[in-house]
Amino acid sequence: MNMNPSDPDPALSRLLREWQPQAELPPRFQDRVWERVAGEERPAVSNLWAAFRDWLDTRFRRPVVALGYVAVLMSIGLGVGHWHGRADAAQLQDELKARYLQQVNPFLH
Amino acid sequence: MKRPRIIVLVGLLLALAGYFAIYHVTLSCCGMPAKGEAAELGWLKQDFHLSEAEFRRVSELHQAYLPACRERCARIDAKNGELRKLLAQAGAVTVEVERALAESATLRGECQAAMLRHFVEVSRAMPPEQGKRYLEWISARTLAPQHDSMAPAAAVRPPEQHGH
Repeated sequence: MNMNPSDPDPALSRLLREWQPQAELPPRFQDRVWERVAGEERPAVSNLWAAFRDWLDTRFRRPVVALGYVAVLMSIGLGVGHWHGRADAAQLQDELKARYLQQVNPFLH
Repeated sequence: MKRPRIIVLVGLLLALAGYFAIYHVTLSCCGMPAKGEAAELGWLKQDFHLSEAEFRRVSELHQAYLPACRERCARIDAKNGELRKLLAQAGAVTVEVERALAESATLRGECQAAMLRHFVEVSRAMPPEQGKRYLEWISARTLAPQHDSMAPAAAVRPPEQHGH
């Protein structure tokens, strides 16, 4: 008998090649596989979120930091609001001036 | 522990509240006109530092000027209509067309004169310095050159310096 060193049992190999499994896949097999894949990916995000929460916990444990954060955010809000308000007010003034000029000067087109 | 998240939320809410509050305050004090008759002219009061009485006078002058101005415009439009009709009928610049043209020019001149009289009246209703400023501002916008493209290049070029 010719023995192939990479195939120690040719009979078993032949049997395996001929074997046709008849078992049916369970219902929603593919969906479950993808759910598991997604489940494997999720912890990366939740780990990031947890790390961020931990970082916040440690940072905001000090009242000075928490107050500073609130103050900075509020200053940004006030600053942007003031800037935006001035820009809109200037635009409105320009429109009113143009309207006035058109009213008093009928030759203006 | 939920406290940090509450702090984050409070910070964001305060920033938003601050934004909207200051936006409306800035807009109402710097640009938003008041309701009613002052709506159109509120900026005049602000720009030319008018008192309540001066502003009321300026508003009265403005309200009195507008109907008369509209009437003059209607007369000019009617005259221009007549001119178009005459030109279409004659197909040439006839004596009638020239007469209508002259009448239209007279009406336009009257309208411009009334407009300038109104500007002077408004400027006199303001404090002297502001009135002068208003007159300069409005003159620059109403009597600005409109025929630059038709004027010869020499006419629009700034005067040359004399050698002596």
